[in-house]
Amino acid sequence: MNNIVKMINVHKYFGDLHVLKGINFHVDRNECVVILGPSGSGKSTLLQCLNCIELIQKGEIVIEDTIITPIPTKHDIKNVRNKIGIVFQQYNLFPHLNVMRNITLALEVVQKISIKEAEQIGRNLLDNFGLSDKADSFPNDLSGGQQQRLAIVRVLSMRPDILLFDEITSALDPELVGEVIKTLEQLADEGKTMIVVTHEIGFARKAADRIVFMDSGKIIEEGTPDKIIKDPENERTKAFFSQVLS
Amino acid sequence: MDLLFFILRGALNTVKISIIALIGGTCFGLIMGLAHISRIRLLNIMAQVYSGVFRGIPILIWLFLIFFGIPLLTGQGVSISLTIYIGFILWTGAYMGEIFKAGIKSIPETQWKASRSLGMSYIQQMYYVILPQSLKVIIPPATGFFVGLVKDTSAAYILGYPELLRASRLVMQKTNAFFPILLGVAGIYFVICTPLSILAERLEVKEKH
Repeated sequence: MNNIVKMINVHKYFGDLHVLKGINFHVDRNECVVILGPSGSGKSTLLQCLNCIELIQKGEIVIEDTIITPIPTKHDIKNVRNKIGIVFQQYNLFPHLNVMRNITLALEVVQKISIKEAEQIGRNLLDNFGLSDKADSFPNDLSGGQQQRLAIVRVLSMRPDILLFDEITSALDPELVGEVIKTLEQLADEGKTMIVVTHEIGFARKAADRIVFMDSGKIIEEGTPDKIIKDPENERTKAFFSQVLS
Repeated sequence: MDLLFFILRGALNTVKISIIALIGGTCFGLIMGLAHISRIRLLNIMAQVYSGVFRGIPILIWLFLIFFGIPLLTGQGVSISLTIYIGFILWTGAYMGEIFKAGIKSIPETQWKASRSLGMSYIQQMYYVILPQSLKVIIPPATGFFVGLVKDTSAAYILGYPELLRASRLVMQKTNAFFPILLGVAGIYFVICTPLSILAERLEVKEKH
């Protein structure tokens, strides 16, 4: 099996609220999986469980060779966070640090890379993603799109095996969505393993290897973009796409 | 001339207590602040009780309680200056704990999430991400508190510690020049505290922008 991520019968509760109801899910190496579904269907929670920002209550998550149970060890959590990078809807940059430092901080203190090397990594990535002239700026001086691209760069700098994107265009002004989507497509083309939670159907159609459709805490249907968007089997999936595509 | 020196030495002692209390109390306050925001319920409660008890009773009483209480508990006497240092550090710690708590809580949860997902440990998160950002919220009230602290160190007088007020009082008795000396003492407090007050105000104005 080539599965790099596997969820086996995963349940997650927030208090009494049953958010994930027995999720079985897998991702292959170099695969780009897009998770679609209505708000509150548990998409973001699924991502946050993968890198242990949220802990699950039942089931098992396997990331490469690390197994995450409802009570993971500190060592396993650390392992998983080394392998997974996540980009959030609200960028979550460090506002008190300049662009370069936003990238180098974790490289230096978590991965123990020398500051010189870290800055080299940072410069290369900023070049690649069209932010090279912003190295000394502060996050609040950047546009929303630039901030989100910086957040992506910050995660890439850690060289994770798996990239998670949690509705990263939802907080952006409509005219800024394009540049961030382009960045995502660039990554998918490079063959990065990525799981993307989004409402951008266009991106899903173009870049996804597989679409997973979720509703009220369950995976209802999955398959190729063509299959899921044009010819869904499930009634809920049909209703969703007929609404968002009309 | 000797008498003037005596007063200035008193002033120096006042500054000394203030600085020791500030440094010790800030370190201790940081620990209290962390206890306040901890996920461990017991630590929250302990911090709350501590903070409530220390802030609800005047420092004067605490100085007495420490000075007379420690010998009762341990059988060992405690020197006046040690009493004063302990008292003011513990007292400052209670207030600084509240200030740290408010500062740390002012940082959005998303900053914790982001730094955690990058693999930082709790201490790294605190040191590199959370505390540097919360300083903006912490420094203005902390400076304000410090101004009050300088004036409140006059409570050390009651134990016979030769801080500014006590030193001046001794000189007054020697010279009978009550009023000029009193004015001088008031002036010294004013000279120490006012720059701090102005600083606090500046920091607060800066914070609003």
